[in-house]
Amino acid sequence: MKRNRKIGQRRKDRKERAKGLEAIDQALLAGEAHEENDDEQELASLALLLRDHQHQEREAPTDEFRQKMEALAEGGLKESDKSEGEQQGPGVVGRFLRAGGSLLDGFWARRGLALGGAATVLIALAVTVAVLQDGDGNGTVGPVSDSSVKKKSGPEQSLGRSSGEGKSEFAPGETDDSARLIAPEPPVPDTDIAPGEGQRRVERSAELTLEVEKNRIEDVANDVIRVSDRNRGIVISSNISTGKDKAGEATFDLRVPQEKLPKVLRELSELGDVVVRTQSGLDITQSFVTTRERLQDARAERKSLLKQLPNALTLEKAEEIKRRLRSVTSRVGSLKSQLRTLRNRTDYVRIDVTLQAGNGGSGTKDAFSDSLDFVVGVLNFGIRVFSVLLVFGIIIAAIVVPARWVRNRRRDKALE
Amino acid sequence: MALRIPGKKEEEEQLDFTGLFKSSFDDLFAYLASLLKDAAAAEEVTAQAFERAYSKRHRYRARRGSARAWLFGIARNTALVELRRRKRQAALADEPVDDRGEGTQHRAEDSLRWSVVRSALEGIPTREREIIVLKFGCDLSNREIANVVGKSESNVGTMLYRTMQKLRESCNEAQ
Repeated sequence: MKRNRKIGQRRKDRKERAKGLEAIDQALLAGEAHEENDDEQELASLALLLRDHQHQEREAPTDEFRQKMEALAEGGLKESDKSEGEQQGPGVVGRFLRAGGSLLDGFWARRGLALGGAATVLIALAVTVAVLQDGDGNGTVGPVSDSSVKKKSGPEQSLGRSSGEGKSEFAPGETDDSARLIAPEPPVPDTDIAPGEGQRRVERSAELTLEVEKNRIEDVANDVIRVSDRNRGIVISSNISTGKDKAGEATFDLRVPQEKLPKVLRELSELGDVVVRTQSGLDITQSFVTTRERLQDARAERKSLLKQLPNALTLEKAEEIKRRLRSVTSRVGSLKSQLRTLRNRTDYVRIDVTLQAGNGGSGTKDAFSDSLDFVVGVLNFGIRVFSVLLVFGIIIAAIVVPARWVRNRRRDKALE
Repeated sequence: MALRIPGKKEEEEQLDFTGLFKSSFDDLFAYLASLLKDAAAAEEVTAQAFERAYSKRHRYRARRGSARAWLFGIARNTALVELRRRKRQAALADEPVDDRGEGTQHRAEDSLRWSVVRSALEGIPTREREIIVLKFGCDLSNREIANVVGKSESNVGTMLYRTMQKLRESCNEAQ
């Protein structure tokens, strides 16, 4: 009940206020007050009284000041219109009379704002590009299988392809009783085991199939080799076949340092349309550790035998020690070779690159597909840029809005 | 330095600055004099206001309000800066005296009613007095006043109405 009364009263007040203001405006417009309502009539006549006396009593500028300002307004802000005294005049009036002063303020203010806006956009673009860039080369186009790391257990592994150095077959431990005196090998520095070998050893491989224009197979093939060379890679094998009747194809077997894999894949992907790109990994840490431990054991055994040899009491004993020495030396060599092979497998990545001739995207379907990809790409980029700009906008608004409020409050306070 | 606006010509500017100056100069000066209560300061601030308005004339947009309101807004902000500067400085030995009253003695005799209204005006807050000056001394509409003081039109209307009611009551009490 009370609330309804309040609402009713407020409505009434609002109505009265509106009528009162209308009466004031009508009186000012007409120059006289003719209101039916007494209150409105009083307001209207008071308004006229205020206007008349405000105009009569208000402060007027001096003639000198008026003339100066009028001269400027008519002549415009030109250097030639000013007298020397005016140019040198201190204070704001002098400044107003000097050409360019106010213009300069506006000029730099506008440029500063434009520069600030451009800087904001550039920062937003830079952040977006940094986010988009995929450092580990996992960004793909086309059917791609996820890179996976398969862990293989068991101490004994098939070594597969090897670099061809030394023996690649594992010689199982043997206790051959026939031993020949073999000059002991010089102690091998422990450089075979690189520092930090407690980390995982993963054998990585990648496969990349690119579609290129038929008449560009050879050029792109050369580019593949250049990419490999540039990244300290090795071309193990390459095969290029082109011809009149042939579609054209090129295959490469590359080895690149593991740390260069993302960069190499990225550069190779740019050479053509990526059809297939796969990466896989095989964790051979166990094999590596096992082989290393066996090598250490073999070395220890050899060392022990070498110590025993001078102390052999009989010829037979000495012969036996020599025979065992020969065997363990052979084993050490074999294990060192295995370790070297394992290290090479993990330090270098095998990349199989295939170039196949395509139509070069000349068909309508390809053109449409390319256009769609482009539009989607632009859209994605635009969304990212928008997101970054939105964040910047929110940050700027969070600073500017309160600052403006504070500024307005300070100004109003000056009136108090 | 010659005045040069890259890519702009006088005739392309939407704001008729010269016309605005001629139509607003007296009103603006009177308004600033009422705020600052000092003719010398009013001259300086008037010149400052026109200087700033000229430099910002490209920023004026008709859809935001009339040119007069825009100019008065600039002048008001300039005057408030001056008032703030005064407050920050040490108190002057002699505060600026509002000597407008002296002039009226030489004009037509004041009616009793006007004397009462004038006294009542002295007693109302500066903000409300400012609105009275803008409305009746400078002939600005409520919307223009709202643009100048940075409030809504409705707010200005309410303040104006209440002030007028106060003045009316003062008159009625005096009678």
